[in-house]
Amino acid sequence: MNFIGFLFVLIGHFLSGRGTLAIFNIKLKPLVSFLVSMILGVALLSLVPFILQLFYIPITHSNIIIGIAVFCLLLNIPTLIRLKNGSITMPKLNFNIQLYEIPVLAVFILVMLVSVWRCFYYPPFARDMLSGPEAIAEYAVREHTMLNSIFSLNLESTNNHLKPPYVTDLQIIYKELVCPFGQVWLSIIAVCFLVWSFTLLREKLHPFVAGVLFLFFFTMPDPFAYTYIMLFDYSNMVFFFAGFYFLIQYMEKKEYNLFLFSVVMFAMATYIRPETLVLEGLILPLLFFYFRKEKVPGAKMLIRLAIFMIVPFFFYEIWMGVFVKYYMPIHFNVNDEINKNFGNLSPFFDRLGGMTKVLIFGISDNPGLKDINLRLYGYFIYLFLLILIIDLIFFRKKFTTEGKVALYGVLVVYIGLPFLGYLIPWVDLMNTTKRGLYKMFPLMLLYMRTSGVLQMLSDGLKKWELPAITGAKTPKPAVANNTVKPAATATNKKNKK
Amino acid sequence: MTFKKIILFVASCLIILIFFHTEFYGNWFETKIYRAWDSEIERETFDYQRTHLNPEQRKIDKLQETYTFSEQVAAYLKQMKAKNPLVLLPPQEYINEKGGNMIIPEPIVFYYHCGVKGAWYTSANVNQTNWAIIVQPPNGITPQQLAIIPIQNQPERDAIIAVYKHAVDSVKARQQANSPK
Repeated sequence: MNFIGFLFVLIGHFLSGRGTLAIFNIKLKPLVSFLVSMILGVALLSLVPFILQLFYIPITHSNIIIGIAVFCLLLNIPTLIRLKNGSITMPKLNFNIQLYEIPVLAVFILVMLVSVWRCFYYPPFARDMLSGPEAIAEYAVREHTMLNSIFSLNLESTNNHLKPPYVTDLQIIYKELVCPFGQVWLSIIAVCFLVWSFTLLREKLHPFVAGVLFLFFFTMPDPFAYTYIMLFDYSNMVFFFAGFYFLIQYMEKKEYNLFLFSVVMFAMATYIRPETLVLEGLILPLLFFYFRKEKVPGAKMLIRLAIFMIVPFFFYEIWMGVFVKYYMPIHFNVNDEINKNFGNLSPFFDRLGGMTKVLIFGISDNPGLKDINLRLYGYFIYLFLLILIIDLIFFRKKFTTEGKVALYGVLVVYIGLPFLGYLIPWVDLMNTTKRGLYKMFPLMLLYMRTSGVLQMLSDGLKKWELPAITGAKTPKPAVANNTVKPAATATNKKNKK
Repeated sequence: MTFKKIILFVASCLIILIFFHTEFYGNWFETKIYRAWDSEIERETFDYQRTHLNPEQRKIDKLQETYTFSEQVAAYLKQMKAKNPLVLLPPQEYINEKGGNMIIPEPIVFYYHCGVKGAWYTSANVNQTNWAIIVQPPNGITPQQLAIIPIQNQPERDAIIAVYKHAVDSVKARQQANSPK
């Protein structure tokens, strides 16, 4: 392993992600800012070899280094200007971990150590990778181009070479600069995302309750396996969730920059898996009703709805409409892959039924599929349903905007995945849909942090643990407290709706 | 306050103990996490892995026969100084029919593993294949084994393809006979 190369790439991830946060004027707590920067930076750096290829610049060791450096520099121009003006202060890290959080965190560290080691140690082995992105990346390193000898083969057994360049390009960077199997970028995404999830829970729930929820979350067997098996779905889940999260932040704080940043996150999710665009289309009704409620003028509303779809579509189009069409030495037409019989809705209902019965509730006549829901996702879905039902019965008045939007997101995935199966016949139940369901889970977690019953439990624990502090009546913050309230500058005022 | 924190700490430890003592999560922890320290398969343990860091060895350990098969084919072709080899890869049904259980890689994976191009008997360029993989029956000295043979001409190629096809058709026929009507 090349540690200097790894350090360079890590810094590259952080700087590109942090620079983008600064461009959109996103203010987060230092730890969250670091985690989001790293997550975003992984996806952003993957654009470097792709851009080199678009301009037919050879993908060599030095060109990748220069590309990453230039990319980071460009994304950090606003930060450099602020640095010059002396308007940047060093963040103060405050971890404040309680004694009773240590057991859950110790288990988390143990589990993730195993994951990170396997991610580093094992060569890529998922068939979808070996027959596409990984093979292209391996020969790109040898031949300095993504349009390499892989395309001189008969590729009738696979369509994986048409998958977006996210994995291919990260593999190129990591094989060139870090280690022969690449892949460790997945650990960065997984660890940063899981830690971010835990901080989100802790912000609104008592750390003890947050720890129990987190335990159910990171021990979901199938998603855990994909923290070290390289595929698209884990990253797709992370960015889809981040899109929703910042959309919720926008709806609560009404700062336009948060809306734009959420669009960037959704765009990254589309860049990783193009069919995410369909799910994003299903978010439009939510936005429409929100804008109407906020009395946003018609033209402005239309522009925002257009931005919401056009930016992710750009990432879809640059790959499918430009690269696959004009660069790849093979013919591929997306329309050939789409269901032509739109009148027949039975595939949609069949898939919805199959997904609900088999994947969510584990009901199947096939003994091999019986209780498969537990083998895939553990008891996390049942925990969510239990909490939701209790909230619906006893805490109906406690539903927050965040909770409602998170539930809408769960519904988008629940309806959207069968719709994808209806639209694109190769989207099957036991692979694409099974892993597509991952996108629900962080949204379920986000809902649970706002849950009435868990809030009550948290308040009870806080009062019991710290009666002197919680005894005094303090006004509840009106908005989520995960983002740092920016000083009232002209820029921030401008960002307001 | 500290006392209450200790109570919560004990409660947290108890929850984790109960959680991993349930049948489901206990089994998950044992098969997915704990096996990194104690597994019947030695190559899955940290002890083995930290002393076997060579990338080639790691590929052999993880990808096993599929990888070693590809590598052996490439090494043999190099030894034979084969020019522009295009290997006719057998269908999985043919290997299974002969009693083997090795997973034959598809052409792109075969190329990824060893840098040699391959084709299936259904591929458009099948008539350009100049080497083929067949199962050689036991001969009293060596057991049944996979062998790579040169293809000299079209009749030889057709004969091999016919054997492959026969295996595929037999499996299909059996599946149809066994499927519920």
